[in-house]
Amino acid sequence: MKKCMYAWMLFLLSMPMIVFSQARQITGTVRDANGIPLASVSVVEKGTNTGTVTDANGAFSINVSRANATLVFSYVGMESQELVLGTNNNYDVSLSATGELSEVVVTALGIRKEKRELGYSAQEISGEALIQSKQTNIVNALRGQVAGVQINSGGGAPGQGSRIIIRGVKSLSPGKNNQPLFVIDGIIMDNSTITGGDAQASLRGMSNRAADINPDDVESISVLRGGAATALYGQAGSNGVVLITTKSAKAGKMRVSFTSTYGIDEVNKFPDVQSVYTQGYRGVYDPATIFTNWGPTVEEAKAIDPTHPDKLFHNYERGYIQGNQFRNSLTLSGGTENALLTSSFSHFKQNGVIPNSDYQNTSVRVGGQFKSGTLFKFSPSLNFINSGGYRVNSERYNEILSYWSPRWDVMDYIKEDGTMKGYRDNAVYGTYVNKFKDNVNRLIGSVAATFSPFSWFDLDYRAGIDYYSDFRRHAAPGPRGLAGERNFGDNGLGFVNEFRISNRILTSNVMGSFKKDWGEKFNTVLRLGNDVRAIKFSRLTSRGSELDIPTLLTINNSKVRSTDQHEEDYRIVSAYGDLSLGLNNYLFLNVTGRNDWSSSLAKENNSFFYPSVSLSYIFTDHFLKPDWLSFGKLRASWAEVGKDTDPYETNAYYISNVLTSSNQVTWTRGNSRGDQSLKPERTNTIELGTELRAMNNRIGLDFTWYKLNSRDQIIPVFISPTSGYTSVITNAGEVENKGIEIVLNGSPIKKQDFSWDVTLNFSRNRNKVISIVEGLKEIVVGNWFGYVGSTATMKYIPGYPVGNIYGTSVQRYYGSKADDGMTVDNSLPLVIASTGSNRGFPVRDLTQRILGNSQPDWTGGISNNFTYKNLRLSFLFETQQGQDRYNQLGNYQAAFGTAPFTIDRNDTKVFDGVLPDGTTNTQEVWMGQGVGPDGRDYTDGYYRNVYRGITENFVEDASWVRLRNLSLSYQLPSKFLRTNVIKDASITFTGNNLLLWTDFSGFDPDASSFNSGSNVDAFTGFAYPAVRSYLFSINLNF
Amino acid sequence: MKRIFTIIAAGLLIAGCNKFKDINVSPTVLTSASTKGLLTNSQQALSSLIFGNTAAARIPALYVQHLAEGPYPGPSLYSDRNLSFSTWYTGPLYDLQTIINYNNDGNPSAVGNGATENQIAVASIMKAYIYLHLTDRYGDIPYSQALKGNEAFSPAYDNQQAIYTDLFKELTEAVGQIDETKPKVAGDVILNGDMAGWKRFANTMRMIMSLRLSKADPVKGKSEYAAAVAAGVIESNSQNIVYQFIEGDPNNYNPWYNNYVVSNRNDYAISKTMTDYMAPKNDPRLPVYAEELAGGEYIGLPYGFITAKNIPAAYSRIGDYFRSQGSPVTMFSYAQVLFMKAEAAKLGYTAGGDVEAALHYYDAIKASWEQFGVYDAAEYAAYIALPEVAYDPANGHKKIMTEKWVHAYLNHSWEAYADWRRTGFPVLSPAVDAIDSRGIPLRTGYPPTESALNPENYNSAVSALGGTDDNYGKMWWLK
Repeated sequence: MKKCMYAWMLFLLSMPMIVFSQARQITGTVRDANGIPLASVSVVEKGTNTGTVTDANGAFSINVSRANATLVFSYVGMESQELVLGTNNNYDVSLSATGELSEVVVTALGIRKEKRELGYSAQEISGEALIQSKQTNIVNALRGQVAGVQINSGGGAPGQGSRIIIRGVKSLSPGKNNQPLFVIDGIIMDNSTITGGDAQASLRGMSNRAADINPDDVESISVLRGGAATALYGQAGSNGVVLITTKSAKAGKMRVSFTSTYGIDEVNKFPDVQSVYTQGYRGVYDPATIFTNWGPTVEEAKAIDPTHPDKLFHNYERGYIQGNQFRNSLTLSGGTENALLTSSFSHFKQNGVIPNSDYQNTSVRVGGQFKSGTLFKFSPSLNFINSGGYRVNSERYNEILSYWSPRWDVMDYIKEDGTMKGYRDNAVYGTYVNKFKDNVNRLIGSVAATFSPFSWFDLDYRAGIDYYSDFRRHAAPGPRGLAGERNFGDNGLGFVNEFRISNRILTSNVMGSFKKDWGEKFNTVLRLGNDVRAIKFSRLTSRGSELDIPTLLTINNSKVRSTDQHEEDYRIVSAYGDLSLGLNNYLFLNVTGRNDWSSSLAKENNSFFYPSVSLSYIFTDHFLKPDWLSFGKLRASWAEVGKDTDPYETNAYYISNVLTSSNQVTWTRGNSRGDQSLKPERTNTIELGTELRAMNNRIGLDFTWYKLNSRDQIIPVFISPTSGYTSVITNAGEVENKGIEIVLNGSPIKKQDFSWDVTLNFSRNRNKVISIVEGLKEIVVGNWFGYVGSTATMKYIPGYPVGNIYGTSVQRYYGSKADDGMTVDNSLPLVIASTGSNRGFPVRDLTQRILGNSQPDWTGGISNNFTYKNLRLSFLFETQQGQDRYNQLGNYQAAFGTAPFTIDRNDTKVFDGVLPDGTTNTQEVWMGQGVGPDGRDYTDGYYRNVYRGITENFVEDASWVRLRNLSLSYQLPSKFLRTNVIKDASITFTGNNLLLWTDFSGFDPDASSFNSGSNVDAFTGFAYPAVRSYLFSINLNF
Repeated sequence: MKRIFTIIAAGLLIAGCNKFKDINVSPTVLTSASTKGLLTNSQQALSSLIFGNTAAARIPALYVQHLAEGPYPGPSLYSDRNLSFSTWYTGPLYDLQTIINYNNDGNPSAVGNGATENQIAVASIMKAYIYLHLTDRYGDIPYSQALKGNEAFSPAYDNQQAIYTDLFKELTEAVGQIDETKPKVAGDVILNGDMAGWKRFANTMRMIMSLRLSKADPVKGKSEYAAAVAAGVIESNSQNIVYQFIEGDPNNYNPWYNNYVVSNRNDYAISKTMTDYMAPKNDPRLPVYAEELAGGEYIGLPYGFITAKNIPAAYSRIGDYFRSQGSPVTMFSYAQVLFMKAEAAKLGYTAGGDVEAALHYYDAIKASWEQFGVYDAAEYAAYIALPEVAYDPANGHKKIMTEKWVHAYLNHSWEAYADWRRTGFPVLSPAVDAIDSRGIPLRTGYPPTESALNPENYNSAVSALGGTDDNYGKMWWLK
């Protein structure tokens, strides 16, 4: 492999030396039928290897060698056009679409199909649209652009993982992957977010592995959503598929493209705090207490303690700094018709808004395409990536920040000798000494070959590898034993933990295609193939603690050591077939079948078959064609896809435990019982849709309705531990997802110098847990801490949607009305206690009730694209509506008296509501701590005794609308370039997350407390806050 | 062409398929484990479950006021209502059951780890030890239908009386089964395969159980007591059953060392209830039990207040004897046996009445002092002559139980808690700032998961308790 790379590099280096003769320069512009300039149109001098492509303005410039040369213009989806040169040196060329708006899209297994023949929805996003937002994570670049896809970036940490869900959660098992398959150039690519082996990793915003991909390398992304679209991937595609196609070279002169981007990041939204009351407890000033804000007013404190600052510090704001990012990327490509080569190099570095968090990514990619006439085509590709950085545990950071009184400046954290300063643990100091770093080395390589011996037959073979190692290290020094030293609590006596993870996916796919046209009207394509995939994962964990020399961070220096080994092996072999029938180019039927044999199921159950049928009917080409409609298509599909289980879930195991000093290995039985009779989960999909275009294709509508039923869920069912197991894994339960997706696009203005394109997408997914295991009432997906019983829980309960958030609430007065024990009836009055120490205050209802739902009612995006001469402006609004989140920060703010509403602590009020007997409450109460003006002892006060213990108070509407992205770019006119070396240059300003409208009280609710691989998305508060970014970039093409 | 394709496809298929069976067996874990490893694991589990490595395991030392809490008062105010028993069943109990099953089934994993009879006997005794502990905490618990894995997902709760009856039977059978002439058990970190020691372990446990029945079923208690003593209980301090923690082995540090030193916590100090009893009597065990503060003082932390107090330098933490890296935990002691003999005589289980009771009582105190290495004949004579200590028939039971409670400090806190519930001695004042006005809890509530996962059986167990699953329902032997 190494040798191979050297060869590529040598070849690359030699390229600039290839000299082209410069006889005559021809320039011009290529436009489509509507006069819109076309970028990336290949322009080749016929019969030679000379060629170029058009720039963003459709302009080209080519040096031709012969006087009577012919130029060939070609572009995907357009009729190629030949132009015989006359004496002019400047030409305007107009290309028309092949057939009627023929659009080729990449479908399952890389099969390129005309969009018109697809019986299911497919949405392709161009690389141009993706890099516009300069997102560092390719998944985030899809945000707001694709219908039916819900993306939540976990937060704004450098390199932070993003979660993508297509058409809702399909597996109810809390630990199961619900995210789509990622395929890059036909090779299955790992997109997991690895957090196993260390509880810390799940809180440190680890990257999803697709974040390794350099967005500048991407030509386009196709998102396959429905069952029929993904059926050819078998179970691997059961959650949908994201197909990434990387850029390939175009014949002609060598092209060099260089892009440099610099950006700054800042937290886009801070929680509000009160600034009146300082540190102390029950109104008594105490500069060392954990109670950050239950003291007297600042003025009163200053009278007691002259060193008290005049104003309290806003430590949520002070604890975050300005981040920055820097990306340079260079792409070289070129070659001849028969030998094309492209290569890219990119380096990215980001410093986060939490001190001492960063991420870097270096990517080198080489790809080629070699042809021997039409008989044989061979495309190798290799991408090496190194990524990783210092990951901060944002949950812990914000928690410690919440314990830090605003009487003290959190940024004053270190003494001269390097030890911690302050009256208690300082969050910023924590990031300085307690460090977690990951370092990923990854290789994605593939070889694709096509053999076309006959006009009616192609044979494709593709083999690939995605291998990475991820070395993680979490280390902190121990106390140094200095006088007056304060040790950062989480460091203990010092520790070093190392995690060595490796993952390898091997893919092999062979496919034969048989094409036959049965006369003019009827044509068929039959594809048969075999697919093999093998995954090997291993993780070695070594931990050392109690460091001998407190600052020497090596495991060899530790007194307590332990090691743990984990390995997983998985293999799946498949055979598949795909038959396409076309009639008169307006009716298309596609039937697919695939059989998988999976290693993770017992032999009797490991073979399963997935069929799919889809139908596309272009009625406007058949008989019905009203004048106003330029194109009309109906589509329908049905598919059944399956999903197997994780490795080793068919057995029960014994795991080794702590060693004794006498070298006795101890064993204990694992708590989960596997099942030999596990079957794959099955999802049935029905999808109906239509595509309509009107006004000469200037307005388009794509509408999809779907319904997915996922049965035979593989779920660990919790059983009474007295049986000896805490859970058994079994097939049971069903979840339903149904929804609609609408994509509307239009070109309201299309003029020579000015154009405006707009795309709107809207998605609505409704899901419902139909059933779970018999005898089981609920499946707990996750919970998140809240004080005194206010912990919020996300559960699946039959009859209710996925994503419900449960917790305690304020008791409602039901009177004679029936209480279902599950929902909160907001129309009813609150119950106020009439007796006891909390009399006069609302009563806590400890029944776990539904307080909200984390899934949005609908999501949408509007992107606008304006082009005026050399200026281009685009902006994207994105929204997620009707979703709730539990705000843990709010819970802490209430408990510590930091929240703005706790300022009423010296007020007396009467709570609206009724006493338990139904009569109106009239009891006056004081809102503060200790003995009130009425002589009653309120002890810790309303906010600590009552308010913080009610989950309902912290489950908030987390709907938002945001200006996700705005991008303004200017193409420098060629006259400014004054040189032939630079062909074109552009500068771009990009703003991400510029505006946010939400009622949510804490940080941006887009961030999640759980990692991007998790199914738990209902909790936030202490997550790494989202950031607003301003980026400036320059792009030069040589 | 087609043929080539077919061959390739078929080749790949075969290559992929034939090893499937092996692939789905994890290479880093086992599908069946050596009984030796299972036994060690079950024994080591006691460290976290009973000896104080978890907050739940520290509860009895608080309830009987051996200890008091400093900066974060919680359990000492009776804040723990429902606690999980999950790890008991899925961990040591299931592993011990597996040892028994493997031996009965002739599983190769049992071979070479001791004679079948001895392995089954030790596993049964250990299992009984844990079940006794559980039923004494919760009352009725899943027993006869438990640990059956796939066969019973929702085991019924057996009533405590039935559990006691079966435990007596199990222990008697286990002792009968032990064959000292056959290979001893391997992996035994408590008694290192001392099969005679395991007989004493079992018999001493029967003795404890028989006295537990003094109110609920004294007739059975009396006969079981006689049988247990006849079968051979601990008869000297050298026969004490001791769980060894290991100095220099961080995986096997004493839990209190982990708590105070490794975790750097200062949550617990000796309670003022203890120091108030011991200090005026010049009890030489106090310097063993408690940390000496500046000026040679031993200061107990007042028990049961919600106000946070910092411990270091202000109150005596527990003594080094109990919290060094290798501090042992004495599971059963000779002094404990003697106190039981005194009580048995007092209650009429045995003949001799108060005379016999007093004799054993004084011997028990002596054995306790000897155990802690502080015995001095003159001091001892002075101590037992103190009016608060000297045996008098009117207060005989109270004095036996009170001195037993002093001896039980940390090592036998669970026993002291059971004794207090049964006899009411020593006389303890509940926490001043108790969360529940009913005072010291009488039991632990069932884990909250049981109502969801095993509802029918849980509900019938709760209705047997009187309808409420709280900390004050009276279990059978308390009635």
